[in-house]
Amino acid sequence: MADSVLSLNKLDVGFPGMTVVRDLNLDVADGAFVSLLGPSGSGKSTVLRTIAGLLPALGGRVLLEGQDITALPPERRNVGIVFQNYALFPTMSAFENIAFALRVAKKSKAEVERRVGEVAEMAGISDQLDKKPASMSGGQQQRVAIARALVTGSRVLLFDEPLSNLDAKVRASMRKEIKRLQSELGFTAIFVTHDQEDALTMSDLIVVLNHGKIEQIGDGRTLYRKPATPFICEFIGVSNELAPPLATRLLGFDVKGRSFLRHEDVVLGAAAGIPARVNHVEFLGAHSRIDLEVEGHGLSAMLIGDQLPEPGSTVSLGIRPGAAHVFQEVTG
Amino acid sequence: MSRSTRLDRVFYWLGLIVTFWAVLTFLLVPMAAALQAALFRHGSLAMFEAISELARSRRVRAALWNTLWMTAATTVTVTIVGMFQVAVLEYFRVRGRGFLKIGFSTPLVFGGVVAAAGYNFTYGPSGAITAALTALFPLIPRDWFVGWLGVLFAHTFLMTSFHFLFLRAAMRRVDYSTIEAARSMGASEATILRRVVLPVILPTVLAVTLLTLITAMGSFAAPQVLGGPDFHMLSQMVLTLNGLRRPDMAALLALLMGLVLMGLILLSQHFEAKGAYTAGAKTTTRIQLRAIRNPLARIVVTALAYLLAAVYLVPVALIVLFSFAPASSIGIEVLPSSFTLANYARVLGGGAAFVPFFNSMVMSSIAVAVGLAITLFAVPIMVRKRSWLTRGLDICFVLPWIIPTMLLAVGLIVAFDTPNPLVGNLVLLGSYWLLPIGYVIVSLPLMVRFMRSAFIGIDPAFDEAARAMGASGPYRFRRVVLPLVAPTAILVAGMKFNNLLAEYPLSAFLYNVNNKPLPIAIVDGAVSADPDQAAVSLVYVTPIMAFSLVVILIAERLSLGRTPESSNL
Repeated sequence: MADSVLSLNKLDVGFPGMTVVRDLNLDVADGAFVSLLGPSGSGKSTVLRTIAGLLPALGGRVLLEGQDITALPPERRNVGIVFQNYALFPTMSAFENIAFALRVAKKSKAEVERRVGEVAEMAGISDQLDKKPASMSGGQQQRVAIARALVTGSRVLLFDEPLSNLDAKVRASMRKEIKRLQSELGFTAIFVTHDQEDALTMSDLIVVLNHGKIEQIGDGRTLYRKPATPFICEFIGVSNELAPPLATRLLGFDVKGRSFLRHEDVVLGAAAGIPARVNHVEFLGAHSRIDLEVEGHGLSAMLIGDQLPEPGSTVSLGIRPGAAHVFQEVTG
Repeated sequence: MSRSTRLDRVFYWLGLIVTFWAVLTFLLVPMAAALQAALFRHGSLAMFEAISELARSRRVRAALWNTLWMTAATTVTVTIVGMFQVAVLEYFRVRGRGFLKIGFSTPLVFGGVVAAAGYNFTYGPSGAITAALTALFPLIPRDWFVGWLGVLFAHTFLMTSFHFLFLRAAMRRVDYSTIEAARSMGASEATILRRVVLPVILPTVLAVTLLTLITAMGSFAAPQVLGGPDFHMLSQMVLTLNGLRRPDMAALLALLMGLVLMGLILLSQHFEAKGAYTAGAKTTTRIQLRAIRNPLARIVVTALAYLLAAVYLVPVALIVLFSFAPASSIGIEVLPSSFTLANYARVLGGGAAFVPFFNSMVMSSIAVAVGLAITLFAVPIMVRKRSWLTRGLDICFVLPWIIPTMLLAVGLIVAFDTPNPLVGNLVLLGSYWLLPIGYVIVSLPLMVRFMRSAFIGIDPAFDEAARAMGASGPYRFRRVVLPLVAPTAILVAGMKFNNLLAEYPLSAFLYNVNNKPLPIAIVDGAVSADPDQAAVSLVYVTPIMAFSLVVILIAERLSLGRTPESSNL
């Protein structure tokens, strides 16, 4: 692809004697925000570390702006890394943290000051440069980390689960912050996370990894509405897995294999539905979860509003047309 | 390979070679020499003859008996005093807890030879308390404190620092919600203590008791200063035998003591590990102090606690006061009536009294600097590269902690009393350098232990981040790693410097006229009847105590404030 800034070409990653992810192909457009999403152990961090050069590739190639960087050491790749917890050096001021790579490269004092000044201005931390990381807020630390990754002119930034240790509220504001900086500064982001909300809210493209395999690549809507595998159905959003007889009954055709139905796609009070018994109603604030029993099978539905069925009552159950995801078993 | 990285590799290998040479020459060879001297005579195994020769000596038998019963008695008295301290500080609500804590913490700054001299100065023949007692009761002899009583007294109150440090920490780890749960189920106070609290702290109690036992058994400065002419312990016999030109006998006795001590150390480590296991890492509710309901019991406990604090604080206060008093008032006045800086002027003025002070400052500084250099070089390698070589080095560095200092001292003597090819055929015994070399060896275990946890505590992401930005190995070490471990390095250097200023066992064996160190001068001053000597001794002791206090305060600040690990969000 001509306009892709980063390409992974049949890349094998892992450790000597243990390949974690095999035959990975990915093209990342300039300025895109790409998430590598997967549960722990899926290999997403290993992929990121291989792109960074912290781990050697076991096979295949990594191309940056068309140039093969597979064999280059990390410092010559010109990709910036934002670490988990940011890895800001606690003994150095924000200025010295950002200036670190320039000092290693023995840039002149004037140039160091100019470039740190520029990138700090862009990140909005010009007035924080004298502070030590410990006396900065989480948001400021994140900006310093991004500025440090950008100062050598990197166009591609790798984020290694930077939000994983934060609580939900801080996490949400950090997400916005990263997204804002990315759209203002125009860098390309590869973002590793195990949190689907991170991936759905920020990404142009999500790569879902599971046990070292790519399950699906697509934007958030596609993953949610058109999951390619049973794993995606279960990993993104909340779904009911329908037992084959129930699926057959609800969908009106013979289902052999696995099928899934999202909670919000279950319709209660349908005109020509099947009777279902309400076992349990769980009020969750904005919505409620209804646990049902249909012909001996359990099923959950999501309802918005305060008009909730009584536990023990019977309701008529249907599904939104076309909402079920069916993975027919290929036989023969 | 660029020129700078080639240079780095040269330094790396050079450093490794020097480290291995030092370990071989000053640790392994002396140990082998000590074993050889202890077990062989004229090339054949003669251990049993030597043991029977030792056993025939009435003085050795007496010292053995003294050591055994003194160790047993000390273990009992220290446990009582130590448990009482922990109960008063961490379990019951007693008024003036802050003051008591200061009192009970004095053994941390007031230990070993310093404390032995201090107790002698307070309770000994020319002590202020003795002066007060004899003024009130003229029948009390002036040397009432000298002998087993003084040694047991000093042991009892000075060896509680293990309880103060470890048992208190264990008590604080008791999950208060378990106590509340027991109470809600109707358990009485006694049942709660016995069934809930005690099982949690028991492994620590055992470990601390063993540590006390080890310390009491190897006690050296206390009987030397306070035991007088008739009460001797085994450590002193080793020194005496060595002085009688029987290094083989000295080595054998030190070896036999060492074997017993090593067994006890291993046992205490076993209990310590169990204690850590019991503590777990889960979030617990901090223990809340319990009020003593019975008013009589409350008054008795409070009175005892304050009496105990007085026992701790009085010698320290008297030392500091009398260090500013005219020498003529020592042994005459209970409290000095006039003050002068003359004693300090005599020590710091550069005369004969200054020499031991200067010697110890120089030798301790050298030892700490060399120890730190070895540690900062070797520990990162040991942490990063696991191989049989680094593991062996690791074990060597910890050996001096397990091997009794006296055995090491005798080993150094017999290894270097003749020209030794490992050090260019020099005879180190009698030279200036054998004592500072010994100081380095005994400093290594603590330094390695502290620096290892500092290096392990560094988030590997720091190193990766620096690497990704192009920093070379030595540059990363200098700019990223070193500043992170610097607080620990400074702290451990301060602790060790302070220990070495008052190091007695090694000094007693290895010093000579060229490098007579402070601890030897302190003991000389303590047992001398000359008030001028005693006054100088007080001046020696005061800055050591002040320096310990500073080190401890820094340590506390560091562990509360910025440790390398706590720099996350």
